Amino acid sequence: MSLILSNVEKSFGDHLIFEIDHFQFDPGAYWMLGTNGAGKTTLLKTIGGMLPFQGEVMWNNFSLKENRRNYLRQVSYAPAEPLYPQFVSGRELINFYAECRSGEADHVKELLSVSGVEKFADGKTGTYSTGMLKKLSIVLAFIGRPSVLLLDEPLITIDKGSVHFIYDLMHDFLNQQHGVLIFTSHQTPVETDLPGLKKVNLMDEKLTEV
Amino acid sequence: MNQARHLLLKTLVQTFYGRHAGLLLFMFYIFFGVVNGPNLVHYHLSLVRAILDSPVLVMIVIAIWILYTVKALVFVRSQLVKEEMNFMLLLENFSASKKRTELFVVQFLIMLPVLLYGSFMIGVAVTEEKNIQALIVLYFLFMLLMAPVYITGLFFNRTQRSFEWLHWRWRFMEKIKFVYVRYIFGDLNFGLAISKILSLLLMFGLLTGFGIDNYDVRLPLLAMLVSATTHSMIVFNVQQFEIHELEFERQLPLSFFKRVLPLIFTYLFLLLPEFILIVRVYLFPGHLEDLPVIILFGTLWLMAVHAIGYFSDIDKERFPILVSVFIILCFFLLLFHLQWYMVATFCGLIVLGMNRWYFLFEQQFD
Repeated sequence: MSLILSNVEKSFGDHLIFEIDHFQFDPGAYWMLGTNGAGKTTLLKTIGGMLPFQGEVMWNNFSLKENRRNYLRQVSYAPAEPLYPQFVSGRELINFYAECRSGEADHVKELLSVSGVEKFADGKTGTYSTGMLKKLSIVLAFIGRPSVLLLDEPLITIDKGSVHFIYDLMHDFLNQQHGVLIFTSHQTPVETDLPGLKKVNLMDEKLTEV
Repeated sequence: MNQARHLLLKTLVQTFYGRHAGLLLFMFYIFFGVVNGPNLVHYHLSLVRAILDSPVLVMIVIAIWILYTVKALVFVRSQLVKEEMNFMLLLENFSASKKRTELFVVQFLIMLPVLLYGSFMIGVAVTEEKNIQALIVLYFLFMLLMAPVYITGLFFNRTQRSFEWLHWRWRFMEKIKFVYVRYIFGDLNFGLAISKILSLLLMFGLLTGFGIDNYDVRLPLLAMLVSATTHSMIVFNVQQFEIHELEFERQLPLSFFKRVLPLIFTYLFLLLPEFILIVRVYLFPGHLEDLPVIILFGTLWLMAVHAIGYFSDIDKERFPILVSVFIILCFFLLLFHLQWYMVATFCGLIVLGMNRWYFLFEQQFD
């Protein structure tokens, strides 16, 4: 099983963001590097099915364009700056994600507990701090045990004490799901927490393995 | 002039006229530019007489005034909630009567075009001994002047949310599928109240004002079209809400129906009072068989407008044009009894919009 990008091209108007002839992500962790504005978030959103693009993205023979629902059942994305309706509670979002992604109740409970989201899940998201929103978005991404995880800047706005829980979740994901984890981060990740970490670089509109 | 009044006039009145100069000049041209000088007074006297002689026309004129007042009120509110207008909260230090006086001056100046023409109407009515009409116009002018003064006063009180009484909270609604209903009844409560008043008023006027004896299904359908039109800005806001705050839904494996049905039920729920009014005033008891097409027409019209919004990033400037074209098309098609074809076309647009344009959509950045 691998995530395959074929002839993937994305532009905003006349501005070409990236043009990827062929790239294959085999199971494992990938740290995506690139300068500000290189298109890392756009690429993650494209793989996450949130933006229109040209070309083909496939996971496990499911095409994002042809088998959108089957593809998205396996692919989960957590944004760098999560935004949710302010009048909705974290619990409602969690229940919704669990319903859509067939999340197991025990797993959801465990996620809420280890992340500390349980403590504030019943409050409206409008009352959350940016760190709380970030934690919630990461928990949501893990619900339903997806096979491909796309985490955009998962460590920003998270307090030092909570960083370990994100690494634990990523570590468990790699060991149990044997899926593809792609994340962006301007902080150097602790390689011992993510053994076999590979680096990919998005530069000059091309994606290359470092 | 005291400093508070000076600032209020500068930040609210001056900005209001500056922002709406185009519209006001257009209206001025329509009223005073299309007829040459010597005939102007005669033209307006005839116009006012015609209005005063017809209850429907009086109602339409008052509806237009209400629309203007609401537009002004929405504008004032949008100004007052800005961060840079926080200093205006100092007005809370004034006594209630002083604050009301200042707000009255603001409202009086904003309403000046309406007040001037309304006074002219009252003058004509009194001269021609149409005292009831004069009293009705006077009553509405007074209300349109005083009610916004009271409402604007509430905007200053930020310690509690304004219009809390419109926040309907039902436990069973605390599920994501009711997110649109909650958004409309929560964040859009003010706009909703205005749309509803206008919609029901216009619908009632249309259904009762023409005095047509023969039943014709096109009349309630036209009333439904007018009513749906008054809800179009709510549809625009809901669609923008979906684009910005429900972006995460794009990443979830939701079926077409799971995405669209909550919206369709939301719009159905939104138009419920209109459906009841149509049944009560026009359909009941002999023509209830036409109710399904009226319900489908109204609900799917709103949903189709929502779906079309995904076509090539329809923004706030282009949306009214789109709606206007859509209304004109629908109006003529209704005249030819093509309601069922239109319902089918709306379904097609919804499938196309929510199944294709929705995924091809991305915000355009100029």
